Amino acid sequence: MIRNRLTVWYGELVLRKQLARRGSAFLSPGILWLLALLVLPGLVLVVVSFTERGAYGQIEWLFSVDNYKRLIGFGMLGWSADNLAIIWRSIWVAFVTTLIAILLSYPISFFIVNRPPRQRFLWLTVLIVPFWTNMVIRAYAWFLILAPEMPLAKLAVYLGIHPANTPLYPSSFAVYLGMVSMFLPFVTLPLYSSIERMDWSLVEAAQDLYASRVRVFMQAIFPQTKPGLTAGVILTFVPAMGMFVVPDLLGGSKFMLVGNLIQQQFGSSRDWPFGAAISMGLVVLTMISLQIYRKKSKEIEPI
Amino acid sequence: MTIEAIKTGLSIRDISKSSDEVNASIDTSIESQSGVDDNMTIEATKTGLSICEVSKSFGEVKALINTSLEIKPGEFFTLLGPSGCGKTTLMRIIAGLELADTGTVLLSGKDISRLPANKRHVNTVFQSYALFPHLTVFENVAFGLRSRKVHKDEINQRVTEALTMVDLTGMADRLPQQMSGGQQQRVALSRALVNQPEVLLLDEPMSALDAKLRTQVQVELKRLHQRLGQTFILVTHDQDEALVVSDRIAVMNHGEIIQHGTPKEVYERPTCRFVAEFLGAANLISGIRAGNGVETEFGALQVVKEIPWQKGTLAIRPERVSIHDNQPEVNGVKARILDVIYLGSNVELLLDRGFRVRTDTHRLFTQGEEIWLSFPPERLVVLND
Ligand SMILES: Nc1ncnc2c1ncn2[C@@H]1O[C@H](COP(=O)(O)OP(=O)(O)OP(=O)(O)O)[C@@H](O)[C@H]1O
Ligand SMILES: [Mg+2]
Repeated sequence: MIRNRLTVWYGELVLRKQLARRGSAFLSPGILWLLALLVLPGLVLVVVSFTERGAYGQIEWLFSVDNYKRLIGFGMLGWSADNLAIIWRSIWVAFVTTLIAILLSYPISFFIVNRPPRQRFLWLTVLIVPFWTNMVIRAYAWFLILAPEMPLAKLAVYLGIHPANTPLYPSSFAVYLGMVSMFLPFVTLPLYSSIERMDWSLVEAAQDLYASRVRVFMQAIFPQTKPGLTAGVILTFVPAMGMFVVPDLLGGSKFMLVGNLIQQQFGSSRDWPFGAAISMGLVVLTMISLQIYRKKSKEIEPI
Repeated sequence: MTIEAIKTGLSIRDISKSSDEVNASIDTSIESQSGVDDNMTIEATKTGLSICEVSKSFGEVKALINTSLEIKPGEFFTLLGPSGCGKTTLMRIIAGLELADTGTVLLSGKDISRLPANKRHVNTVFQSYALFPHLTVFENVAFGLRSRKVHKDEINQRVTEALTMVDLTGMADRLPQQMSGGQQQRVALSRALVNQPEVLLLDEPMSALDAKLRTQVQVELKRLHQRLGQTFILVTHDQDEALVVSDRIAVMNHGEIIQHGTPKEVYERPTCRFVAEFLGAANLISGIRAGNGVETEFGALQVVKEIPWQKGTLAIRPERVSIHDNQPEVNGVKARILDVIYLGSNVELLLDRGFRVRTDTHRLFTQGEEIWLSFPPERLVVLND
């Protein structure tokens, strides 16, 4: 009887009940914080997404699923693919951005890890210095770099893939460039910390066991860097899905993402219920995407 | 130094092994260095592993200095030496995990010095085991076979065999962290052995095991080696382990191989002070040459071997000193017992002048007693330094 209720917790002999009480005490600040800052606004959003927009942009408390119907394309003028296209484009852009950031982060992280310890700090600083300025300013900085008289645009003209005397923005290329530069450190930093702590003897063991380069990476390096990579993927993919500053400035009106659409509803259109519905859709999509990532990254593991 | 050691090592082996075999190995170890290229040399270097004048430095640290070694196929060879003497470095050079500054490594007569690790038919049991934590025991063992795209059925069969060999049947689906240290070590062993490498390298594989398990694994390893007939190279700094398992031992210090030979040779006939003291206990007696004997603090001592120096050191193992009731005829010394240490099957006597003697327990010794000792001339080893 007593045995059941007693337990050893890191060498301390305690009652289970005591432990539970202590646990909830430790948890409560976090739970309160989540409740106040995330769950409550979230719930408000859920409720609002089922309401209707009034004639003057106010919220009419008439509940229906009309906003969600509208989200998947059923408008007043019949069905259109516009919204779904925007959603699909957002997923695609977030996916490509994350992928490019990962592909760049591995070599960058290995490069920094291979520097002598004193230099590493310097390189990491170089990586995050751009973040000392505002996101909007960084996006505007790309205007300068992509201007017609700059080398990048000149190169594009020379290669015949771009008309002369026009800037390289607005374009999907400019959006990807902006997105990757915006999110790169969010992948590189966690990946770097994983790689720095890596057990290199596993790499040597794989080499010793006749593994090819690809196999060494997949079996000895990738599993060890996965925690950092996962953190990086979440930190990049989630905000990239909702990003609106970069596409707004570098993508122009033809390259709208979900973020822009939401911003429009809460801004100029003053259609909060529809905006809330899009936000809910974004949340659901993000969660599905991360689930897919989880499954896929597990699948890669065996052989 | 190295060539010197090889010569002495081989001249002693002459006695114990058939002359054919000895001739072959003399040719490889000495003449391959002088560049003589007769049939015997080629024959012998075609199989086995030769390390020729390999050096390696890490910045200021000279980890290996001009090291040469010949390891015969099927031999259980041990690299023995204190911490930091370059054992692991030599091992890693053989495995291809480190590039030698100079020198070559020949495996079955082929120069493998510039081959990457995954192209060398050599496998390693790492000191930390380095098992893949995300793979099951089965997949860990199958790793090398999968790298080489061996057929699935053959993989199944060979992995199952390899796991049976190390007594791990039924654990194939576990993850490494669900196993004890000894079990992990056996997984590492079978992961290397399943590839049937030409040379198996073992870097202190027993260092993480407790004393009892270690002796057990040593015996198992020795038996496994006898059954498989593959070349094993073991790194250790435990002299007992080296003596138990090896066919031959190379004693290393400060990046050099000081002496090599069979366990018996290096134990009974150490060529220098370091080897004498590193392999078990030794009594050292310094003296000056006087004719065919040596003048020491114990008087004139007769020795069998030739004395290469004017002033130098003799060594004798504690268990090789004999105890007498009366003054012996040769090399007799009177000594007082300072302490008697009971060791179970033996007693160790600590005598004045820092001498140690080990003997069986048939006679009772008391502290303060004076006894007669003799150093049998054939047991007195003349050290080179
Ligand atoms: N990567 C390295 N960088 C710098 N020095 C090294 C490196 N590897 C080894 N050394 C140095 O080379 C020498 C030999 O090292 P090694 O690892 O071969 O010793 P060891 O005989 O295996 O010792 P132990 O029994 O402690 O494992 C040591 O002085 C060590 O400090
Ligand atoms: Mg070592």
